[in-house]
Amino acid sequence: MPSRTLFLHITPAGKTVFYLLATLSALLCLYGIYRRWKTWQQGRPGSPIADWSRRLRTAMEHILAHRRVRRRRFAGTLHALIFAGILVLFIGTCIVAIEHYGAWVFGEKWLYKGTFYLTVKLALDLFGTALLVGTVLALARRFLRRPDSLGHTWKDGAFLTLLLTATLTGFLLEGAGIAIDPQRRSYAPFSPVGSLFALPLYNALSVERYVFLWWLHAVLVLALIAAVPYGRWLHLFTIPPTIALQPARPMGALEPVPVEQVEQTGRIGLATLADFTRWELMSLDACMECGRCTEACPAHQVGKPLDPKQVVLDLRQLLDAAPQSAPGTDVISDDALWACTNCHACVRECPALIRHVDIIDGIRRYRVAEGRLTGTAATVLRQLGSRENPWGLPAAQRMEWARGLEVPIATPDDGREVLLWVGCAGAFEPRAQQSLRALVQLLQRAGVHFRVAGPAERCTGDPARRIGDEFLFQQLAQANIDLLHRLNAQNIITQCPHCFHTLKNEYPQFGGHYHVLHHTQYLRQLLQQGRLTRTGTTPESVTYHDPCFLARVNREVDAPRTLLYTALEEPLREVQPHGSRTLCCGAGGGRMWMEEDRSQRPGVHRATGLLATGARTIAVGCPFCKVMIGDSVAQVAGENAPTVQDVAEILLAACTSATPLSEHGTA
Amino acid sequence: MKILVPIKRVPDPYGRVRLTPGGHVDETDIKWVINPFDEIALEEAIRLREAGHDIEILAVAIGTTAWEEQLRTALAMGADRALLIQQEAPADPGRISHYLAAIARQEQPQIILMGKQAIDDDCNQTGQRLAALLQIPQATFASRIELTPDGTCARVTREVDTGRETIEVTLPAVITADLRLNEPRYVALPAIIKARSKPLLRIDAAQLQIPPTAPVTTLRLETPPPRRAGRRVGSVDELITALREEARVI
Repeated sequence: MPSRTLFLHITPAGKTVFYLLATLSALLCLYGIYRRWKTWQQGRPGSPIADWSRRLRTAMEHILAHRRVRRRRFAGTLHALIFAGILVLFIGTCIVAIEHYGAWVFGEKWLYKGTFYLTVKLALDLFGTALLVGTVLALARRFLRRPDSLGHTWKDGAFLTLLLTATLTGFLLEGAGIAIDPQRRSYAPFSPVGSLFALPLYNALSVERYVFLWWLHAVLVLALIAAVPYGRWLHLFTIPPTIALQPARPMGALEPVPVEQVEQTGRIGLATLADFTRWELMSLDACMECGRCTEACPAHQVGKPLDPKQVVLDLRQLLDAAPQSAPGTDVISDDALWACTNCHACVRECPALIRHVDIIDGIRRYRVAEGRLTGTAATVLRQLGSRENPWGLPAAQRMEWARGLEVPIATPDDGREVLLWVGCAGAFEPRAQQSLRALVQLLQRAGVHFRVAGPAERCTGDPARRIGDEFLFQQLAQANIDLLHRLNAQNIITQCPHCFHTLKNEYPQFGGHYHVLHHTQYLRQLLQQGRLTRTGTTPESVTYHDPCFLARVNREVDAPRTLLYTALEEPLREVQPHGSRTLCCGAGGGRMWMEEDRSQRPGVHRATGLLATGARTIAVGCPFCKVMIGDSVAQVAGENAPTVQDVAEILLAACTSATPLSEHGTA
Repeated sequence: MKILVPIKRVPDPYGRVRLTPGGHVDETDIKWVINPFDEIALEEAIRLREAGHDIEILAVAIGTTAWEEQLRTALAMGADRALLIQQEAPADPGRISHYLAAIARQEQPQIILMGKQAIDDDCNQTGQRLAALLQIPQATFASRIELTPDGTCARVTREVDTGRETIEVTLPAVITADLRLNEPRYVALPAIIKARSKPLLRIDAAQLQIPPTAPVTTLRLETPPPRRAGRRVGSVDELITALREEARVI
């Protein structure tokens, strides 16, 4: 029966020394984790955790299937190799341990034998190879490609070298075992890689050398285990619980704070570590410093002082500082804090599911409450407070966009099928009004019985919440929820992805539950139902700029493309990056209303990419993108700038074209 | 050092003021705020303190108990204490400056820092009158204020018709704030909640025993005529002709 002798050639005294060392290594490792765990206890408890089966599924997707990690091909692959290698070797070691201690009850060789032994052996050999390859790739990436965003200290090289030598000595030991143990030699084919390492050892191996190799491997592995919690490899222990215990709020939905809580505690937002939840503090320690967040950050790309990874690392430093040290989050500079467009690129890229934007907006809440906001953003909040829209225009003008169109204002029992949420941009911004008028004409062509709230509609509160005035947001949200309740509104379509997100994902926090669709989603439905048909195609070359709050935060990338495929004659010219990786126009997070240096406009950076597609029309799905991208392409391309149109405008052209389809051929 | 900041309650500048059929201001939809110039003055006092000067800020309003709302906002912005001089009828700049002079004699502030005018009646008198009553220097329309290190003088850059003028005034003095002095901080609800514990004292206007002043009577209020629609001209020449002959502005 195939099997192997454990602790071959190791004396009882040697075994004792090994156990002492192993205990020391385990204690060092556990202490390293405990040390971090204790710092998280400075935080407050988060919301109770429910829905374990869904959480477990998500955790498996992220941990085993590497959902986020694999968004980078090279780094993702090498991570998968190392991850799978370590996981299988760990399981293998556990099996050996069970065999070893089980032997006291069941006698020697009760488990680790026969086919099972050979299967495990083969698996260990193959996954050990994966680990070896992954580690070599990681070393190559760190020392040859050396991406800046990764960050480099001596510890990183040292740990990878330790991992590499531990793995290599593992194979050497495997080879030595095959060379020295005639019983194992007959199963050598089950260690294809290990037996390669055995080749040079067949005649050159003494028992002493074998024992030396055994100790070398043991010491390296124990050192490796002890080192894990003392560097970025701590993420082995912090990422799985961070993923499993993440807040139930969907991405982009900020945590509501009841006013009573502020009255009792006098605190709001993230000032010190005590204001963070324990999960948030743990998530800081889950950062393995890969730098994907910073690479994806549109503010960082245009040279602003915002660096999402540095935000996490600066806050993490506080964990080690004296507890209750004065407003700790002041380590994040105002310039960095207000540069964030809330585009969620960092959040979407983070393999550890850290919620950078929640943290940034949490610190904003604190600073706004402390009276540390001035300038145009402050003006917008004042206007939101008095006029209930960020443009500061009177509500009486809210229907001027609809002049000449038949747009019925909702009454509680008009029985109409959908409520079109106009949004403040749609009401007041000339370019957004154009998009909205196109949308309304499409709805009319499809015979949709829609209605609008009219002058009673007010800002959803999105800018207030993201700039940091939570209670102004709640006041607006409550007023809108009351309005929608009065109007008996269940089905809502929005032109603006920000209204869409807030109505869909944040109003439920205050009892407002609606079926909300972005206009591109609703128009797709109308096409699919045959209520809307095209009569021609648009010959223009078109590219599409995904809005962050639609494509990334709410994962809708297909609906606008379906409309464009329908409307266009030639294929869509995709811009890099697009879809869930889209690059922000610079308007989100209240940035629409803040001063922007001409040389540091995210919109200009994005415009450059859009212009590179050569398309003569840039399609957008968001009124704010329309303004920002429109201004930016004009700044970059001047008179030569392509037109910027909402998807609805392009679709309207295709649905009203008098030219019969056959003349263009079908696209 | 003590800085006294007078606060006036005015209709929200972002809102629209309507008149009732009887010719009074229709207050039903009005949101009341601190006069924006007073807000700039208060912001400057807070910034002087934040710059390291040892400063106590006293906010004073003259009006009904409803004005406490604006004083609470002033406390939330950063004033240390507030004083409401209670009186029912709206006062004119003459009376206001006497009330403020009475308070200034009690409190002995080194600086009275106030808005150059209120955005409701745009009188632009109180600061100047107050300086005269107290017989102290004045620096109006300030766009920059610097205190000398020993705290005895203030160097003030003023916005004047010909540009900017920098003068030095010996303290105590009245300084009135112009638009470009600063951008006031935003006050959110949590700050107002936290400022509830700060002292707000009410005193009866009659206690101050100010001398009688010439009464100012409002005869009539009326809304401005609606703006006429503009006209698109064909050429620059046509524009020049129109400006010269029709509008007579050039």
